[in-house]
Amino acid sequence: MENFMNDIEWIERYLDRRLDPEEMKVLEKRLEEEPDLRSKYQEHLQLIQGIRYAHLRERLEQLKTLEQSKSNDLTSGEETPIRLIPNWKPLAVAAAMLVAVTSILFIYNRAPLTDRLFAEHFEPFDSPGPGLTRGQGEGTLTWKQKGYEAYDNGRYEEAIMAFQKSQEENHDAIVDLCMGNSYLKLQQYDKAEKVFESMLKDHDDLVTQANWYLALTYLKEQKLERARATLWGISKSSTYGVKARKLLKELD
Amino acid sequence: MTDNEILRLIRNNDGNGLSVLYEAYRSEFLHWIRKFAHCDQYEAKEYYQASVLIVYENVHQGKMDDLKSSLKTYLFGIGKNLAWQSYRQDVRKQKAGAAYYLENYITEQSPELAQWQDHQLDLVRECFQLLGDPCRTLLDLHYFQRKSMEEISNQLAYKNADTAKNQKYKCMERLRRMVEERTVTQNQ
Repeated sequence: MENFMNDIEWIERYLDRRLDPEEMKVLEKRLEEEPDLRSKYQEHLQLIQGIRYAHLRERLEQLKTLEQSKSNDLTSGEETPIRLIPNWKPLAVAAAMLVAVTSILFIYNRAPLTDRLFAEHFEPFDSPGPGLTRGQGEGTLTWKQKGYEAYDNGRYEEAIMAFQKSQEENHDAIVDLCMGNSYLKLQQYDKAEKVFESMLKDHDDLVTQANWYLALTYLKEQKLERARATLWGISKSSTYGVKARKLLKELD
Repeated sequence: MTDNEILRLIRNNDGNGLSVLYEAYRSEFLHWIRKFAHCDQYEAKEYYQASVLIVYENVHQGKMDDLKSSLKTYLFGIGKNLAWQSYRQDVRKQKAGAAYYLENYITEQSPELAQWQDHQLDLVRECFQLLGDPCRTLLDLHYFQRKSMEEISNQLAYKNADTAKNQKYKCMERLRRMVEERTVTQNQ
């Protein structure tokens, strides 16, 4: 045991760079020649890294909670104190507001559920932007850059035209994704569906993103079973999983 | 709050240090990384959380004692690296997320452990969580917070640094045995 502890001490001093050059050489030579010592070294290093990782994961939970509370603050707003002795004026105002809110909700709820869910969840994909380089004027923009520029500025028809030309030269998954989103913005859902479906067929990139937007397209087209199946497919993804699970729950 | 004040809070293990750092550059970073990595808000937050924690870890490891750039440049540089890495390592794996970036970061620190089996780091983490106190605190103080045995013996009221050192050895042995047993069980 004494020997074992001694070895561990050497290993720790080596890891902390507390050995002098001569001692370091000796240990490195021993690590090369003694498999037992080498495996002891690796095992020890593994435990240390695991301890560091455990600490970071605990802190990650702390950040997730902090982030969650930020999101809650944004949606719930501040709580208003409860008045124990009511007087008629605030009550009258509240009643008037209640009537107004109820009317708005009534009108709002008349829109089909799928439309509401689509409106709540659809956020157009962020394009990478035209990314102009120094000295590059508008006349020298590639089709892809022109497409991104038009897309970013809400000129979706122009963007689609440029994207189509760009795809003839060189196929790119991000361009497809932006093109599908342009169709969604133009409410041409059948075309958006084709773009996303062919993306999934032809590309290996941005699969989750394509599935997410395809699910939203199905939703808008009232193809609920397909929407559900597509959402299930990405419900375990780390990037879109939360959104997908939330939407699935709302659909139920 | 200045960069130095934030770093001091983290170094002194003030509970607020991490939250202050997180709040300091959050909006700016999220806006920037969404454009840089073509990602959505959810992914941007995952990148940010991992980047902040890597800075936090570097502060504890003493790697930021001679910081030449601003804290913001350093933080954004880490974010940029994470985004490039996930791009290179095939984003289709759908595995990416702050925990995954941190796992990668830790394993990259030790190329000697390249042959680690998947989830080995998680296995050690799980065993560490089961270890209980005082072992958990002691090992965390020494290996994460880089406290000396002298400091640990004062903080945890051990007789002296040698007693703390002996205790640390025993705790590491317990952890090692737990990992070994679990590995055997998993392989059966």
